[in-house]
Parts: sequence; structure tokens; C-alpha cells
Amino acid sequence: MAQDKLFVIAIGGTGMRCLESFVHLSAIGMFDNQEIEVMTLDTDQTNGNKAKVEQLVSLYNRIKSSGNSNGGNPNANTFFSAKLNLYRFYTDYSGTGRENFRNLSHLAQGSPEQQHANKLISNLFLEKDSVQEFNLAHGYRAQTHLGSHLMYHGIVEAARSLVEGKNVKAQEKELDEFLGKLSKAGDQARVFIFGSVFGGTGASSIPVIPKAFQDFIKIRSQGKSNIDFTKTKFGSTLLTEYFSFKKPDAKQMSTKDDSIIADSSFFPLNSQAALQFYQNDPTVQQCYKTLYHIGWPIESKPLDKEKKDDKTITGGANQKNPCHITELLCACAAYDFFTKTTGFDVPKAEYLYKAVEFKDNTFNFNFNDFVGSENKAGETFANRLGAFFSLAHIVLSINSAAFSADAEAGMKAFITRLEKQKIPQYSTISNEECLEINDYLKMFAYTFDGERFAPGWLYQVRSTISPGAFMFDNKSFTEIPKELKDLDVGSLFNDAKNHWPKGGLLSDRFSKFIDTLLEVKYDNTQNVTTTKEQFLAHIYNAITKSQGFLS
Amino acid sequence: MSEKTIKALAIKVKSKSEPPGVEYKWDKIPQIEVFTKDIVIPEIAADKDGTSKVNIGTIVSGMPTVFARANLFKGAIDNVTDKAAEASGLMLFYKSLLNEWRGLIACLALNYKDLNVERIYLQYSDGKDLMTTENVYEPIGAFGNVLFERKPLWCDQGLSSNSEKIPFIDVISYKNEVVGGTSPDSLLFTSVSYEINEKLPFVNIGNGKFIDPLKSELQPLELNILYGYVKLIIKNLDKFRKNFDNVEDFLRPNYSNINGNLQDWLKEMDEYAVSKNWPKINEQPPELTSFKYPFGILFNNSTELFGSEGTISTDASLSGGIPFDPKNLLLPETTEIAQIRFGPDAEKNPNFLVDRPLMLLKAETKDMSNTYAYFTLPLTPLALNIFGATLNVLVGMDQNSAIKSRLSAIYDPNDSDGEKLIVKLNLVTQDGNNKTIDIKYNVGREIKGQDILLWPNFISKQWNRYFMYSEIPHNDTGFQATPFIGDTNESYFRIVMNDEGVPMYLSENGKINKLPEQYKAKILIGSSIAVADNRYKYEIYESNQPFKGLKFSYANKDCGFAIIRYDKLGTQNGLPKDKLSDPIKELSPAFLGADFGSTNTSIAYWSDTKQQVCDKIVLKNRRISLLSSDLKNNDERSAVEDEIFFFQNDEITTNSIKSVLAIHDPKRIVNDSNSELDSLTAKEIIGGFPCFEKNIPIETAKDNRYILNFNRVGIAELVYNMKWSKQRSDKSNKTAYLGSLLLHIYAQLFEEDHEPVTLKWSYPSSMGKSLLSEYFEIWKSVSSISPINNGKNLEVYSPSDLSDLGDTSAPPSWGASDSSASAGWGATDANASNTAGWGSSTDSVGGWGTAPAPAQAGGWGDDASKKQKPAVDIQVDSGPLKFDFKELSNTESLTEACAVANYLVNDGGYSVKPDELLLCFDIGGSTTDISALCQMEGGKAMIKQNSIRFAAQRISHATKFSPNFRSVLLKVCERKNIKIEGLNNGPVKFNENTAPFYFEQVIDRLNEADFDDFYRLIAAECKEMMSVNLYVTGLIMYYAGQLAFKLRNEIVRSEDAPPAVKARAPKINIAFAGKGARIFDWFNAVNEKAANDYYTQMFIRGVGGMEVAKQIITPINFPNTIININARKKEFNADLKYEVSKGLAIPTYKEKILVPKNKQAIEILGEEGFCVYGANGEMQYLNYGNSITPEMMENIGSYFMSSPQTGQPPCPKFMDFADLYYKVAQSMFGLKISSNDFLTGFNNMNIESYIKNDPDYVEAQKRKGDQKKFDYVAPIIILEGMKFFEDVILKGIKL
Repeated sequence: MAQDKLFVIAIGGTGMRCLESFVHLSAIGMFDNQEIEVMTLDTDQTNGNKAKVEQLVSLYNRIKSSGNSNGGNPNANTFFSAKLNLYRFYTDYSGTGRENFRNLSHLAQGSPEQQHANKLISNLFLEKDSVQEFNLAHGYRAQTHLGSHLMYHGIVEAARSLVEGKNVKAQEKELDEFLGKLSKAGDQARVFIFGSVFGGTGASSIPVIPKAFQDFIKIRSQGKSNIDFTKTKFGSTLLTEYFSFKKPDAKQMSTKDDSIIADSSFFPLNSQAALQFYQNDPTVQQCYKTLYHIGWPIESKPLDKEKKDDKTITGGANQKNPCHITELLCACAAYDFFTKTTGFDVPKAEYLYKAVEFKDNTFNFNFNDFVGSENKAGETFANRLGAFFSLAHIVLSINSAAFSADAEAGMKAFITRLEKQKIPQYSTISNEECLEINDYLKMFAYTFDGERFAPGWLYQVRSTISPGAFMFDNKSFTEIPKELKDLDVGSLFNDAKNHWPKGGLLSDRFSKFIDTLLEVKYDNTQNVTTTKEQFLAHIYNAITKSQGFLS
Repeated sequence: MSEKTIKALAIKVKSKSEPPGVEYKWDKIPQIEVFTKDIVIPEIAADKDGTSKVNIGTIVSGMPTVFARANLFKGAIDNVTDKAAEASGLMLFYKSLLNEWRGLIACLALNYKDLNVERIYLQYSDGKDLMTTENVYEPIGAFGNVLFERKPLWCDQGLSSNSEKIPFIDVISYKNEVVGGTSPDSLLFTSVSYEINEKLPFVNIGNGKFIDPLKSELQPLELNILYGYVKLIIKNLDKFRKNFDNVEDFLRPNYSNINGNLQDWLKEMDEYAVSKNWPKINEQPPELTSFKYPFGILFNNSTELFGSEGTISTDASLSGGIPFDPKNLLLPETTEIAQIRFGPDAEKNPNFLVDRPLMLLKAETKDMSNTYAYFTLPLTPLALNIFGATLNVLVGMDQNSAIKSRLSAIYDPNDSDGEKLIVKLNLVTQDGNNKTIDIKYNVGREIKGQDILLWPNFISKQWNRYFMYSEIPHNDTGFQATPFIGDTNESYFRIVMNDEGVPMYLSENGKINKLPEQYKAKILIGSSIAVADNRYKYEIYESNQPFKGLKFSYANKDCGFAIIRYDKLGTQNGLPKDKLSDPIKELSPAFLGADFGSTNTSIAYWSDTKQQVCDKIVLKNRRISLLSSDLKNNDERSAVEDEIFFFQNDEITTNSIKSVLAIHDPKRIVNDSNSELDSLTAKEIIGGFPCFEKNIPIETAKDNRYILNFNRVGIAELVYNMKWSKQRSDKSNKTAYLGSLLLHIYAQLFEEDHEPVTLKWSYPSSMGKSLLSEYFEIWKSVSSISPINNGKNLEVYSPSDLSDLGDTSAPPSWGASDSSASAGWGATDANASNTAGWGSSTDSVGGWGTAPAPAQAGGWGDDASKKQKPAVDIQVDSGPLKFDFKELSNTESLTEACAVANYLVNDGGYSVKPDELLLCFDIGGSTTDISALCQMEGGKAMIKQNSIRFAAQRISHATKFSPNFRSVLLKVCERKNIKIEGLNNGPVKFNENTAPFYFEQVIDRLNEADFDDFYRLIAAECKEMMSVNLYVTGLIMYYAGQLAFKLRNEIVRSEDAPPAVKARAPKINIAFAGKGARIFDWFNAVNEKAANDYYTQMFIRGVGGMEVAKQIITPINFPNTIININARKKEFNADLKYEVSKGLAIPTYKEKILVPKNKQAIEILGEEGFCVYGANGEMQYLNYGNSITPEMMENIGSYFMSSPQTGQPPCPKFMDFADLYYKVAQSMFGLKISSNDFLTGFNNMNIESYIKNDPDYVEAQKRKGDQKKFDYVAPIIILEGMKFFEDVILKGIKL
């Protein structure tokens, strides 16, 4: 792993979901020994995707936290090995006079000459009755021409606010903190941005974020600091459309606030336009080192196929879209960006893409497809993902956390089991801590809402390529409670060689695994100090041994 | 086993562009541009041209820059290189953008007039930066911020490297809607949401967006324009590209695809033309300069052309060529063009403007064939100068010219958006290329019933006084006309421009503008707030350069030009002549003679070249009416204001110039220098104009003023009878009159290739020195008015009599004889007066019976009192006159008498033989000048000159009292079919005050052949006036007789007379001269013989009776012709009123005349019963033939008085005259005055009192008080006649 300081920025709904994948990659242990500064950036404070990932990061941090150690410390070769510091910034359009472009820009203020000039230039580039008028509270609604302008100036506005020091908002302080670290990291900063090129906020922001940060730092430092784009490494996803949603109807668009709604049928067009912009825009070319183009060249499943709501969701708390494997690939792009050691000395941004086995009109993913095969990266990934997935089933399925909110279920039950197996040292892990792990694993894998199966991240990702292959045996993704409860957590992989060893005639793989737990422990290289870290490292080591990837 | 395939996890692209992928690795996308271009896009409803039925502009919002719209056009141009290739998705959209792009270019080409381009600088309006600006979101600043690395590309590349560079966009609006902008990448782009709801070839009527007009219906001309424009852009593209040579490589634009697209477009246009079977496209790029640098390089058609006198060339070496941009030739579209109404005839006459002096624009009325309207020229001053003298060709007046450029227009009075004038300017260059500029103007208000006049009707390098009369003052609240001038020293007589290429308008805000030193201009009469309450406005300009044209405006908003047409060939009567190209001509010296009379003025000149006196000068109408017609028939309607307050349009000969001055309202006089009003009004033009008008709207007459009442200006005044006026204001009036008149003369003589060099003027012998001095001052003051461009002033000769006229201190005139030796006079007189005639009718005074002796007025008989007075030794005739002759000088102004004498002896006139005495009566309005010539030692000598204040006006003024005179005038008008305002037209203004005026008006309308009929009509219908005529003429003849008696006696005893002359009584020739001489025609017309008898008898009576006459004169042809009356009368009075002026003009050396050096007037007493008291108190009665002197007049009532001897009638000589008059008048013309009235008149004569109350007498007394000489003198007989006329005759005829 590089020695650079890592920064992750998730922008907009898609960016949030990419971050979700990134957090899960962190949870499975893909970013050993890293303290990663993570920022969510949106115009939509209430966005469901944003809340979800922030909740996830928060949970992640709580899992890593112990006592006064908020967010814990970076570890290695263990679950939750990276330390994630979350910052949240959003451009606030909720105040009076900030509802839309027209008001925000004060188009109706100033001298007649000023108004004339501002209106001329605005009408030239922004649709007068729609783009200039729609309510910004739910983001930029795929109006990236407006969004990029507003996002850039939103960040600049925050810097001005901070310099002025009056009525500084919380999100401005968090942005200040995040960018303070970025500024401090200087040439050692690697910044990776998650966002789409087809949507609203993310697509709007990607091209301007480096410049916005640069100018923020200039303003904030009163010109004493800067970002040197030749040294500070920016990377980003250029995620093109991979889902669709219901087309807005005329009735919904008849209101001024909703006169602009993203129409997923135009996403390809938007994506194409955006990609052309990126490849021609000197600012993008100079600011970014690597741009990871990720798309979905086959038909995507509609997100709202089964929803009964008539309206297209423009944002807000209701916007909680399911995860997609492309998002995981975006997270893997970040992994690539953070881990690679070459490719930064380029005159302009490089466009990268990935190809995957494609058969019968479906993609089939194996471990190497995500993080490559060099240095057994794929096997490491498979091991860690498989390990975490196995832990999830241990907690959720075997110990029924998915079926019960009882503190005794799930991880607590597993610890109790360990106690019985003479591994008592983890009994001090509190029920609350156990519940947090339960909850995280539910978000990672699945849970039940009453009797309704609720797929978690991995289930959702896997479903996006179904019936294509996805490393794990299909039975690993069963949604049937009985099958889940009876699931052989040691045989999740497709490839039997990665199945846990069996224990004999009367012993299943899980029992054998318990034995393994008795055989292995955590070690110092893992940099685990708290009981919880040691516990998780212990389990990680045991599963790793059981899966046989790295042996 | 199937081969494992991998597929890019990338956006869906065409299979050919799908990257192959490397297993497990992130790999670079090869050919990212192609990859992106081949992205597969779901079908969007769009037509074959890529025009989406939905607003695709709002769909493609995925480009994350606020400049997305601009960037998309670059994408379109770079990606759609094969227009025919199938496209979908973004490519399809790009095709639609290209359509819009071309449509916008087409709009620039075809409708640039509806476009407005505004440069918006992308910086915060408070000038602050991102960190400190007040409103960080302000679009103009914020948008500039997000250009980021591209900012340098959007800045002005022309700025120096250390200048602050601010990005900008030139925003294009179509009728106030933003439709596009400029971009360094795509040159142009359309705005995100615009909609043009007009049916135009470059607008898609389906969605209101721009569209390639080749997909629409283009007209051939439109295609020519578009083709030319696209070609122009292509031509300029490389130059434009070089503008960015200094920007970073990664920013530097590449226009190869744009060039390719435009080239393709040209081909498509060629194909379009072929498909329409149109001829080969003729490139006509439009003229527009809406864009600033650098986009002006591309889109401005600023191909510099050069123009001179209508020749348009691309060659800068064109002789006299003015560089210009064609689009600067027409006025801005916002100009409201003024319509000028000339009336219904003009509207139907396609050639109406051909004969008009003003260059205007003719427009055929839409949907009304052969109906025309006329407008001010929508040309800029630049265009006016470029076309210069060929403007007439430009506006289509001359189709045969080599100049092919044309300005044409259609007038649409029914446009839904108001009246419109659709103007088309088609420029044709020397090489045959065409450029057409179309502009649709609003038509403003119309000019109707107002005129602008010029004077004179020619321009020449030798002339420097030009005048303009405008009824549309430049500072009026409505229409305004502001003149500008041309420069005659400039080869093409171009408009005088300032440094900004704007004409140097002469005026602004009521004042003359400051002009360069070589140009002189003034506003003489203005339209200030002082006359705001008068609805008639006018102003008069003067300039030393000819007027070139006018700028019209309404309420200070320009509405077009009009250019004055000057005719080089001189073949068009209605146009002023352009003599600028004539060689400088040698003007022949003209020696002027000017006779300023009370009623009329006469001018003649002697031409050195012709060696003759030139009369019959016609002061032609040299006015040019620019907006109306100067063919104003004053027989049908009275004169209007412009005929009064400007140079006259009535043409007159210079022997009938009315001595009437039209004056301006003093409030209209421009007084920038705060001068005294009298000083200003003494100036020509400012002080008014001689008024020749025959038919003026008189309201009344009073105090030497005719009061006119015009429909528009209201009350106006004419000044008349100025000659003897001593009012200060009238001195100014006379000066102004003579000055303005001289301008007329100068113009006329210039046309006759002459230039006045000297001026002799005349004055009555009786004119006092004071007044004479005043006249000399007046004449001298007009000596500098010369409009001839040679710096020479007119030499005005001083009057010969100025120094000693009336000098009573001069040595005695009567020679060395003893002043007391007067016995011979009285004896002779007494004998003569009672001598019977040659057997004809009249007797002496006894005819009146016994008139009672007049009561002696108190004091008159008081001898004692007179004796007590200081000694005044009044000289009486005591010996022979010492004439002491000298030749009449040629360098002096002359008395009217001298002038007439010079006339009479020249030009085939009287030889004045030794046995002849020529008596000449120059009868004017107020004075009759008398001269007498005979042979003396050394030649023809003028032995007598004087003047009496008894002349023709006595008759004309008598019309006030004539009850029947109006009917005479009406009958004459009826017979002559003439209309005179106030007499037989309009409200009746004839009254006792205006009767003399109408008399003059009728006289002026008569031809020479009409006069006798007129007199006979008077005799028949208005006998009282004939009686009046007989009174005046009879008294003059009586007086002539007295003079003859006196002169014969003086000749006989003179030492200067040759013996042959003394030895023989002379034949008497009596000549009449002057306008007033017509009064001797009246009686003659009625009864020639009776008239001859009457005048002869009067003469004889004046001599002293027949017996005396037999000794004094020799009959011409006894018994039929005793004296020769009016022997020199020419047919139709041809020389009437020219006698003085010609006599002045003719060099005195032509026929030498001797005049007495002392110039003492020989004036006779003319009455008996007068006596003088000598120094010692002795009384001496004087014979009627005794001289009368100013000294006597000064002492009348004291040392000189009427003191009839007991039993003698009070005024026997006058009664003698009155006797004959009464008899003839009563018998022939029914004079209704009784003999008793006559007797009462005689008895009430009291002539001393009358004389002392005479204003001239009073004035002379005043002068005396001022230590000047007393200069009043007049024969008593005439004074008696005047008094009796007023007391008896006029009152009598009124009854």
C-alpha cells in the first residue's frame, strides 16, 4: 500500500453507493494500515444514499472504536483494518434566497446594467424557466452544467465563510478539516472521487472538485497554500449509467420545483456528453491523473421496478438505491488508485477500464477481476471478502442476528460459543459492541425485516450480475431463513478448494473452524490492540487459514 | 470448450469501438475520442436532421460545465464531419446543433439588423475577485471563474501580456431574446432555450430554432448573401485562428473541422442553386459590424471599400476615394424616416423629383402601383459624401450614368407594425460586385406645408454669401432642419465634416456652432423662446460656403438627410446652378447708379465692357424652394411669409423696385453680441428685405407702416416712405433696405458677368445736409456687403454737395452787384404777370373777382418789432448770377437733378442747342427735382437744379379722400382678372389708410399699354382724382413757367452765357422723368389736346402771361406747339424711373455738363406780396421771380414775410394758377368744390404759419440750434399749393 495519505470523496447518490462499497472493502480489510479521510459531498443533505453510507461509516467507526479511541486505529490483515475519518459537506440551498439559481445569483438585484448583463449571460447558458428556477434542495437533478458551477462556488463560498468566521456552518467546518488535511498532505495526497458522470451532483462535481479544493485552500490559507496538481494525485471514477428508473410524467414536471427531473433514459446521452467533455477539458486533464471509466454495457435492471410510488424520486431520504457491482468496481478502482505505484507521471489524465468474462449475455466475476491478479491481489481480495462474508453468515445466519434484534443473538452468541470452546478472552466485548457488528454485517450481507428478507450490500451487488458468476456459490446468497440457518458457512466459494476443511464425520466445517480459532490467534503485525480488534483479527486469521487462499 | 471472452465493463459502444480489455487489469481506453463518439444511445425521437421533438438542449445537461452549451457546438463540429453519415444519440443531437449553428450564421447574414451583440465581460460587477466579491454567485463573475484553465482562450488576445485579461462573451440577441454567443472553439453557439416565432428561412417553424436555411426556401438574393458571408468567414478563419497563436498549445483552437463544414456548406449552396435552376451564385456578403475584436475578424464584413463621386472600388488608390464600410452607409434601423408631402400630383408623378432641388428618396407605395411617397434620405453623412454629386444617380434620377449603385425603397403604409419604409441599398463596385443592404425603417411624421429656401440660386467659388430661410428651425420642438455646408475649395464640394466624420452642423440649441476659421456662418434670424407663442417659425442662416444639405430630426431624434441638388449644366430651372467647376471669370466692372426714392428705387449700371449703360436689369427670382414651390401666383393669392421675410420671388426691373422694407419681428433677431437693436437692424437681411410683392395681406396702414396680417405669423410690418424719415429706426431700415437690395444687385450682375465697383447715389437738391450726411453714412455702410470673393469693397462716392449745401455764410451768390439794386426784378415781374397770352383762354388773376384783402395777422405788420431785431441782411437778387462752372465730376454722387441732366444729354438725348432751354422735372413720390440746361460758355450747362416737395404722392395719397376710387380699382382688377388680397379677394381691407397702397398695387399690375385705359377709367369713374391730378400737374407746369421766366432772365444777364444764347429767347423743352412722371399721362390719355393746352397755359401763366412769354421764350411751332412738353418720353415709358439711375451710371465724361461750382440752388419765390426787411429796417417787396433763399425762409415772419399791399389778393400767383385749374377741372371733370371754397382757401392761406409748422422747417431750425446751417428752402408758390391742396382740394373731393 502506498505511503501517500488517502482521501476519498463521495459525491451524489451514486458516489455514496460507491463509498458504501469502499467502506465494505475497508471492512473486509482491503486497506491495511490506512487512515483514510472520507468525505461525503452532496447538495442533498437528506439524501437516503448519503445517510446510509454515513451511517455505515459511523457504524464502521464505532466498531473500530474502543473507549476513548474514536474510530480506532489502522490495522493490518484484519477486518476493519483501515481507519476511516468521515467528513460531511453539503451545499446548503435551504435558506431564503438560496432556493434556486435565480435567487442564489441575485439576478434581480443590482443596477439595471448589472441585471441586464447577468440575465443575458444566464439565459445564454441556463434555461430560463426551468434550470434557473428549479428547487436545488434535491440536488442538481442531472443539470450538471448548473451543478458544476454551483458546486464549485459552494465550496468557495464555504472558504469565504470560514475566512470571515461568522456563522460558520457545521458542514463548512468539516470541509475545512478535511481540506486542511489534504493541504497538509500536500504532494503525498491521493484523492479519489466517487461519482457518476450521468447523474446530478456527482457528475457536476467531478470536474470542478480539484479546482474547488485548490481555490478553497488558497482562500482559506489567504494564499499561503495551494494544490499542485502535478504532484497531488487525483483520481476519479467516470461511472456511466448502470441503472434506470421510472420516467417522470408530465404532471410531476408541471410544478416549478420539479420542472427539472433527471430522466434515466437520457443518462447514456448525458454520459456521452460528459465523457466528451472530460476528454477535452484541460482542467480535468490537468487535475486528474487517472479516470476510471466504469459502465454497464448490458441492460440494467430498473431500480423502481417493484415500487408502487407514481413519482420519480428526485432525492431526499427516499432515495436509497440498491447497490450494484459497478459500485464495487468503483471501490476497486479506488483500491487500484491507492495502491498503484506508477502511472502518476502523466501529462494528462489516463482513462482506464476493466474487462470481465462475458458469457451468455452475462458477466462472470472472479476474484482477480476486482483487484487484479498481481501479487495474489485477487486471492487476497477473495480471501478477505470471503472471510467477511463467512463472518456475516456466522453472525447473521448461524447465530441468527438476521432474525433477531436480541443482543444475545449474532456476534454475542458467537462469542458465547467461543467461550464454550475455551476461547473466553472476548467475553468482555459488550453486547452493544456485538450489536454494532451485527448491524454492520446486516448492512453488508442481509437481514430480515420481520419476515421480509432485506438484502445487504453484497447480496445486492451479487444480484446485479445474476445469473452470472460471482465468486460465491449461489447457495451462499439464499434468502430462505431455513437455508440460511442451515447454511454451511465454510463452503461459500464456488471453488471447493476454498471451502473450509471438514472436521470429520461428526463435525461440520463450522465446528472445525472453531478448532482453528483455537489454533490461531492475532499477531503483532496486525497492529490490533483492543479486544475487539484482536477478536476480529483472530477470526480473520482463522477464516483465512480455513479458506486456504494464502497458504 | 468455448473460448473465454471478456467484455469491457464500460458504457455500451459500437462493437467496433469496444475496447478489448486485458484480463484482471485496468487498461487504458484506446482512442478515447472514438470510443466516446461510438457510445450507443437509445433512440431519441428526432427527425432526419437531428431535430428532436423534445427540447434536446435541455436533455444534454450532462456536460459538467456551465459552458456546456458552447462546448457542445465544438463537439458537434468536431464530431459531425460527415453530414451524410447516419447518426444517433449525441451525434444526432450534434447534427441538430450544426443546423442551429448554420442557422445562426444565416441569421447574421440575412437578418443582422434584428440582432444585437453585446459584449459581456465575465468578471464580477463590483470589480472584485473571487475572494472578496460581494456576491460570489453573480453569473458574470461566477461563470468566468469556471472557465478555469480555458480562461485565457476566452480573453482578448490583443491585449498586451501585462494587461489584465478578462474573459468575455459576445452575447447575441434577436429582437431582445438571447439566441447565442461567441466562442473561440465553435465561433458561435446558440443559447439553451430560445424560440423565434417568425417565418424566416433560417428558422425551423416546428420548434422556433435556427436551422440551415438550405432546408427552407431561400430567395436567390438571400442565397447570394449567405454564400458571400460564409465565404467571407472562411476567408477570415485563418486570420482569426492566428489571433490565438500565443495561447497554450492545449488551448489553441483548431478550425479545420469548421472550415470543412463551411466548405461543405458552400457546395450545398451551389447544389441548391442548381436544383432551383438559378444562375450562378453571385456572392454578396452582407455588411455588418456588430462584432468587436476578435470576432469582428470573422463576422464583420468590414471589407474596406473606397468611394468617390459614386464610384465604388476596392482599390485604395481610387482618386479622391473615401474609405468606408458599406454597412455604415445607411442610418441605423432605429431611425424614424421623415416623409415629405408634396401633394397629390407628386404622388402620381414618378419623375417628380427630377426637377426638384432637393435630393430625397422616392418610394413606391406598396400595393398601390404608380403611387409614390417621398422621404428623407436614410443615408449616413459618410454615404452622402461618397456619392457626392452622383446622389441623383443613386436615388435613380439618372439611369444613364456609369454609376450603378442604387438606393430604392418601398413605402408600406399598412404594415401591422406601423408605417414602414423598406430601403434597399445596392452597391455596385467598379469590378461589378454587388453588395446589398436592406433596412426596414419606421416612418415618422410627415413634413407638409413648410418650406426651406435658398438664395441665391447658384454657387460659385467667386461668391461667398449664401442664405437659407427655413420654416423648420433647427431648435423647434417638432421637426427640425439643421443645415450643413459643403466646401467649394474641396474638389468634390463635399460636406464639411468634423474629425468624427459627422457634418459640421451649423447650429445647435439656437446658436451657431463653432466652425473652423475658414468657414463663416451665422444665424441671422432665429426661432428662440421669445417667439414661442408665435406658431410660425423661421430662421435665416448665412454662410460663406454653399449649403450642402439638411439633417432632419424630430424632437432631436434624427430622421434622415436631404441634399441640395446643384445643377452643373445649368439646364434645370428649378435647381440652383453649380458654377464651381466654371473657370474663374473676369468680372467686368460695373459702375452703379442708385436712385433711392420715396416710393420706388432704381438701379442702373455702366458697363465698361459694353461701353453702355445697362438698364432693364431684371432682379430675377434667385430663390430656390427646397420643399415646396416658389411659383407662387400672387395674382391668385396673397404673398405668404417666406415671400416677405426673405429675398423676394417677384421678378422686377430695377426701375420699379418698391422702396418698401419688410422687417422681422425684433424678437426673432439673433443678438449674440448684445448689440444695439438699431445697429443690428441696419444690417442687410437682419434688418429686412425690400418687398416687391404685388399682393400682400394688408390689414391697415399707418405712420409709414403697412400692417400685414398673415395666416400663420400674424401681424407683420412693412416700412415705406422712408426716404425723408428722420427717425433713428428708419435710418436702420434704409440701411438694411439698401444693403439687402444690393445683394440682389450683386447676384444679378454676377449672372451678367459684372461686378459693382463704384456706386453713385442720388439725392434731392432740397435735401438738408444732415440728412444727406446720414445717407452718405448709409451708403458707405453698405459698401462692404460684397459677396464677391475678391476682398474688394464697393467704392461709394460722396455727394458733391455735402460740404456747402445751404451754407448761408457763403459768399453772396449774386455776384458783386449791389444787393440793393433790385429794381429791375420787380418791374419786369409786374409787367409779365399781367400779360395776355397768345390768344388762348385764360386770363390773369382777375378771374377770381375781387378777393378780399387778407387780414393781417397780428405781428406780421408790426414793422417796429422787426426793426428791433438784430440786423439780418437778407440778400435779394441784385445782379447777375456768377455760375463759375465746372465740369460735372465723375467721382461724386449727384443730385437727382444732376443725374437726370446727365441722363438727358446722353444716350441719344437732348443736344441742348444755344436756342434751347431744357427744363427737366424728375417727379418722384415726394419730391420733384428740377433742372435746367442750356448752352453756356464751355458747353451744356446746368444752370438750375433744385427740388420741391411736391410730387406724385400728392395724388396717390389723395386716393384716401376719393369716394369712387375703390370702384375704379375693382374694375381694373376685374378687367385684368387679377386678385388682390383685401381689395377683391378675402376680407375687404380697403379704407382711407390703405387706398394709396391699393393704388400702388393696381399700378404695379398694369402693363404699359394698360395705363391710358386706367386713366380714362379714372376720368370716367373717379373724376375727383382726375381733378387732383390736374391740380398737381398744373401747379408743376405753372412753376415751370415761373422758372423759365427766372432762368431766361438770369441767362440774359449772366456773364457765363454766350452772346448767341442771350440774343434769342429759347425754345422750351420740358422733360419729365421719374416714376411720378406718369401723372402727366392722365389728362393726356383723356384728351391729348386739352391736356397740352392746359399744361401750356399753365406754363404761360407761370412765365407771367402770354405777353411776357413772348419775350421770354420762342414757341416751338407756333401756334400749335408753344412749348415741347414731355418731348423725350419713350414709348411705353421705357426709361421711366431709370433717368436718375442711368444718369448716375453714365460717366459724366461721355457728354460733358457744366455745373456751377457754388451749387447754389436757384429757387424762386414764385409769389408776390412778399417782402424783406433790410439791415436798416427798410422793407423791400420782392417780385415773384426773385430768388428765395434759406436765409429768407429762416427769417420768415420777421425779416421776410408775406405782406400783400392793400387791396391786393393774398396770393395772387397761386390764385392765378388756381384760376385756370378751377376752370378746367370744373368743366372737364366736374370739380365739386365751389369758388367760395377756393376763395376761403386763398384767404386762409397764412403761408408763414404753414411754413413754420412744416416738419422740415422745424428740423432745419433744430439743426440751426446745433450750430449747423439752416437749409430749408422752397418756392412759396409750391408751399401755397401744398397747403391749398390739403385744405381745400382734398377736403373738397371727399365730400
